[in-house]
Amino acid sequence: MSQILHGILVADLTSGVAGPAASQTLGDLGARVIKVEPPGGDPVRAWPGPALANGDSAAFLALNRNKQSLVLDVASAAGLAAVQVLAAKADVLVADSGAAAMAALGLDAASLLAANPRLIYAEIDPALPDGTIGRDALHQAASGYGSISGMPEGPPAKAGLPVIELTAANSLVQAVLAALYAREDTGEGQQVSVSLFRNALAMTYFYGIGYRITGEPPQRYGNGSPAAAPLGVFEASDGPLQMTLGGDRVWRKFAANIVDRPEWLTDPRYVTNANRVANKQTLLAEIDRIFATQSRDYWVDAMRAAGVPAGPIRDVGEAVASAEVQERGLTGRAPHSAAGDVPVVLNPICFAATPVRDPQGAPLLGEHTAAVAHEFGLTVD
Amino acid sequence: MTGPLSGIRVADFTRVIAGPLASMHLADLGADVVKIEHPVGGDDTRAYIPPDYHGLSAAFLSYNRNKRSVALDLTVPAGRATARAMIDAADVVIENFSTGVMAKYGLDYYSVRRPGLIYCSTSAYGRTGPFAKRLGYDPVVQAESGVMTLTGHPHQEPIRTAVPVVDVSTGLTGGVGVLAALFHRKRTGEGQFLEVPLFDTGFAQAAIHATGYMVDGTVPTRLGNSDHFQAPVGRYACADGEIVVAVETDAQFGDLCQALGIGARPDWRTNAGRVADREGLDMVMATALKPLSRTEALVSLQAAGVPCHEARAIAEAYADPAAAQWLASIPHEDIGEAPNMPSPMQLHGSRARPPQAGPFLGRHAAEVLAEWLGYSEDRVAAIRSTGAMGQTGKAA
Repeated sequence: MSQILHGILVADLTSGVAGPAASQTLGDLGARVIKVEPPGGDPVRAWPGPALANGDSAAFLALNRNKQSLVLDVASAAGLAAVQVLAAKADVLVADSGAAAMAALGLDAASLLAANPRLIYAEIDPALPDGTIGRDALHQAASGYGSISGMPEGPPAKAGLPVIELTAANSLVQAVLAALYAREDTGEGQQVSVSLFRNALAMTYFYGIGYRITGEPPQRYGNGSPAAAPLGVFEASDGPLQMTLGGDRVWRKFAANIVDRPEWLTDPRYVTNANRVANKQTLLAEIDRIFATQSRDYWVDAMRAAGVPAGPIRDVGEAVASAEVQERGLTGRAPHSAAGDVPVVLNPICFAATPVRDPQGAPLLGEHTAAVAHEFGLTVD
Repeated sequence: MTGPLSGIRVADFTRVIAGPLASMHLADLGADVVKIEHPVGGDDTRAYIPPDYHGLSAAFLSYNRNKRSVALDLTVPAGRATARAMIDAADVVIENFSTGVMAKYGLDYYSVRRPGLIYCSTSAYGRTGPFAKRLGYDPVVQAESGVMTLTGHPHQEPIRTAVPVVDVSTGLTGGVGVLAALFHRKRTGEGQFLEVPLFDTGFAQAAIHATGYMVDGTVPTRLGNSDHFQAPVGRYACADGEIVVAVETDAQFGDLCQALGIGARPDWRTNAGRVADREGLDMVMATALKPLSRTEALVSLQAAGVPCHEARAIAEAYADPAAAQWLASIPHEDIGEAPNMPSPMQLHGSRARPPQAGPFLGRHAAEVLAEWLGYSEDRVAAIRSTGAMGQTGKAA
């Protein structure tokens, strides 16, 4: 079956997280993605941690399936000329090194669009407000996003995943798809961009808008809330769970049916949410004592049956092994030229008529250099 | 004609965050997005008050720009019939009810499908399978998917990200799905059903770690403000405030050592060596930076080409001229203007839609039903009189 972006050629000049995540999604949707790498390769190949025997990191595998690898040294005249040939033939070019760096190479949007008016020139703009270049952690810092998660009494904790880059990737893919859609009518490409800094600001959403309304900076509430109780993280006998009890109706179910404390229904300390918030310390200590008597699954199953939002707090390994991931088929194996096959986390979009492409494992460095150079008449070495 | 999706009609049955974010991005790109909301209260986020701006909550304003609102009670036959007529007039339907709700009203894909229709369900755990009936909540999926254990400080409780990152990722992924389906329809005329489950998307966010677990069994933990793959990355105290440093290359680390007068140990020359001794390195970094003012540290590091920035609270970030201008309020048809969190997408070659802040509940029933369905004022009044739009005097 043919995928949605079948026939679309993507020249991908990116490395790291955001750009590769964006081009990977285009590849999942059926585009042919040619990943242009410097002779040393995308630095993510060498990230420490889990890796294949050939040295390529698991993180690289997770961000670069369904791509071909073409090694070019853009610092050389031949390498730069090869990029220009690709850009002239591509439907989409993805860049992430910043406007100044691209302009210095003559690869700015105006030049490439002049040579190929149908091109979608898609950029992740990595500039910080002071003009320097930064990736996820610095944009979390510069935008204030990195200051709003964490315990009230402790320091902030940035999001542990590179969420600014991952969400920027999704927004860039949207912009590319919209530009491809418009091109069907106009015949013309265009420049589209997502700034990591603006995306980080946008990611503050209602915390930011709330601050704009009230002038009061947002507080950190950890896993709790100043406005409701009980909610947050609790320890069962064999591990932690997350629970959110928003309203009185759910509270009554919880007290009467789940923890079997019918007396709490009339206990003046706990009758209303306001009472429970006022007596939170006592209440949470009592719940901790009760939860310690049974397993995490016991409590979570009971709460789900009663419609109380709750779930086990799983580490990544437990999540991979979970019934939800396994029965929903969210992981798989993909062919890989060095390892035979490699594990993949599959694209979560499920199209009824045009499923995403069966995954092909991430390419070896330069795996497709000779074939792509031959096909496009590039001079490389 | 403003925006690539100009002329595309979206019947939007979503509420809370994930679905409304998906449809807001479609609206930002020019689509005519109409929220179909319950007449009593409407979208749940309308009630997330305080804070509010003239009755519109910060959460509602965050995810409902550039949309119109029609209030319809789907339990009332005329409400259902009107919703069905809107679906029949729409190019895209998007919904994020619990499994079975749209079917109960005869508005599920199977009931309303036609060749060109795109129908997107941002479900919780899928519309089919053993978990189809389970309700979806961002904090629960953050917990179940492994995402939550990656945020927080070492040896302390995991922390849910304050912004509901699973909801947000699902909304953005839903936008990708609908746009891809629209492109496919443009080229083939074929619509389709698609689904973007909250759980599946949450789990996919952790793919860089889940893949590692599947490669060699490594279970990552949380590292506070440090990074799993690069070092030094962290938040460091200077004499008068904090900065964040994020070294990406060995050369940058060498320059950092020179700038701060750090005598680097041989095993710190490679990123792998630095990551392996993250805590030892952080102690040396902390000692070197502590006596400096924030400005001294930043000037010295930036002169050496080391990626760094002051660690800002929201107030400091928003006072930056680069942020303040971009975060300007936008027009609102009933209250003049309202605070806004703009779209990060920029399409330089398409005319941007003039922004309009999120609507009051049911504000556009008459105009939308006239535009989309050709209904006269009398016909809308007749629908209203059945109670399908609320306001019948009956208690909620």
